Amino acid sequence: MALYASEDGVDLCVLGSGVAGMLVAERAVAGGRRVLMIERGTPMMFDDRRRQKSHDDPLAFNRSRHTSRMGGAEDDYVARPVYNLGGSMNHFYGNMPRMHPRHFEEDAFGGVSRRWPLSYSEIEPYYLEAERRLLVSGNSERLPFPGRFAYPLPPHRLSPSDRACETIFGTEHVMQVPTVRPPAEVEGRPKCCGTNLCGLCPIDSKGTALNTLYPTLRERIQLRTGLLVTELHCRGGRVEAITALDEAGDRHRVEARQFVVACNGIDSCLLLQRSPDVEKHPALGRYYMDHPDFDLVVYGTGLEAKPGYGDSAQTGMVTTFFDRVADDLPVSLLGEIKCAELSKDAGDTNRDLVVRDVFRLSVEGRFSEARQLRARFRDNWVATLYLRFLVEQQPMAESTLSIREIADTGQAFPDFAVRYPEYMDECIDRVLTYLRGRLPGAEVKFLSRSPTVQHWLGATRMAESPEHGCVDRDLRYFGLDNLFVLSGSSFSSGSSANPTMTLGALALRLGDHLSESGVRE
Amino acid sequence: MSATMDRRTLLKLLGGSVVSVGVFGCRVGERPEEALARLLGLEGEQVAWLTDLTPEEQAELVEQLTGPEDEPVTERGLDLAAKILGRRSRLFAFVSYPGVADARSVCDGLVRE
Repeated sequence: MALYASEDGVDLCVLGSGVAGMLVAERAVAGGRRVLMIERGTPMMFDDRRRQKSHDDPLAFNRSRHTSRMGGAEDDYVARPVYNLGGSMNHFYGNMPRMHPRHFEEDAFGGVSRRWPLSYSEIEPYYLEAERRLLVSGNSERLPFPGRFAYPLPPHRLSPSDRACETIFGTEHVMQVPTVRPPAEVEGRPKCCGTNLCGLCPIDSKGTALNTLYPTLRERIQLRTGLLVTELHCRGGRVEAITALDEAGDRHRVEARQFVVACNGIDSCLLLQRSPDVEKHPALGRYYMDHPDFDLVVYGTGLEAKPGYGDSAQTGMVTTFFDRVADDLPVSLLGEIKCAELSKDAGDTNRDLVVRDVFRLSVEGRFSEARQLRARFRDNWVATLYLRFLVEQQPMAESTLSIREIADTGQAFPDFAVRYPEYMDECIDRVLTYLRGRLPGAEVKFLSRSPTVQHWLGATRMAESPEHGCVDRDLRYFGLDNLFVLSGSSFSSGSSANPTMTLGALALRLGDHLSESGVRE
Repeated sequence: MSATMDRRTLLKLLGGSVVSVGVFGCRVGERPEEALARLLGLEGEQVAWLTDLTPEEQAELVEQLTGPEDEPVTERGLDLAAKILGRRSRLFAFVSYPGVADARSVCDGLVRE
């Protein structure tokens, strides 16, 4: 059954309702285009999520926990996409830095990474526009990015931990984090409450596709939820239709003049892989990247870091290692100053470990007077600093994303072949050494590492030719004139920056490209 | 049986009774709970935190806190301390932060300056 056909006036069919899909749809309707958006999940709104206390979608084909074994390590790689209206932005942390110009222009570690076929200067105007549209809070001073620009919302005040980092790393290397956690009420959303529960913001303060873009978009597009797209049908170098399943298992055929696959960095790739008509370029499902990260703690900084104090879950970032000019690091690292991490309750492994360490330090050498232990503990606690570093991952052909199985429900389950990069330990050592050099009297301790920050990049990467990538600089899939892939999977390299802002900029740029290329052929 | 085991056994036997001499860090006539409150500097209602430990555990922690300077506190000692101070509300009170709830809800995640 054909639900929608081009005769019905669908110029652009957007698969996925996350920030990328909604931004490109917004641009398209502004240009007079008729847009159909297809979302596999249900139209859960904020109150639904709050009642349910999770983003889990009730539809059978939306199981959202995908686990693979890490190569060469005991950790599991666990990805958790959000499968309902608004997509994964519903559960992201809210940090929105740009990538640095060097991350577009330089080959990374060992020359294995490929340059983007786009330059920073080409994407810069779209960064600016996406920041305005998504109401990003930030401070134009002390940014590692070139040029002068202003964020639409003022920055959060730096926390005591941020100010401690200014002393350690230098004022110019502490950035007030660009974020969609608002520092004051904006457009009906309250100011960030600083619970550090951003994965399911308790007061709908954090900016999401759902509360920022959807309210104005909903009346201007056709939206169909609860449809799982299972196949792209191609003929003559074009996608002519898609097949989608509904909850009852009924199949639907959808036709449109152009298609944008914006189903997140995992499912966008899986859809291309499971569609027999789609040419499988060598890079499809390869060069998969995330952001491995590591946590460390510094005791005895001699500074009033005061963990647990702040105006938002995170208000500062360390950029010392961000643009690769510091310490000859082979890759980019972005440091998150976690003022809220030690504000968790008992039961969090790292936090509990820190509490025990502070107690141990406070007892060392013992004490002679009543109450002295408490004073020592207090002094040690407020001098404790917690940091997390996001590590740029090297795009490697052997890091793959593939289909493990297709369930009876129609859902494709992914399999990831990922491992920590070889330079992970070196990055950890460099940062520990740097801090020990800056704080000779302090105890700097590595706490843990993780293979994922839930950034799914690179599996349909952008390149100059189909020998090296899957999409061109305009995100057009090589060999299919009217198919565009708009997700983190199209990143050529990952930088260490949180990717959502770059994805937003790419969405707006694609919107312009679709308008300029003339959809009404 | 080691000397340490002997002391542990003795503590279990004593189990919360009044310790009449200044052993195990307790002053004369001071119960382990009182000694622990003094050593940790707990005040008022905070003394009730100690009830999360059994009297034996209280005495054990007192012993840990008043051991020789060159004898680091053991993992067991840290476990016992964490039982007293681990919860967020207690930890923050212990370091003189403003009061917070253990089960975080709206707007109590971070302390504002």
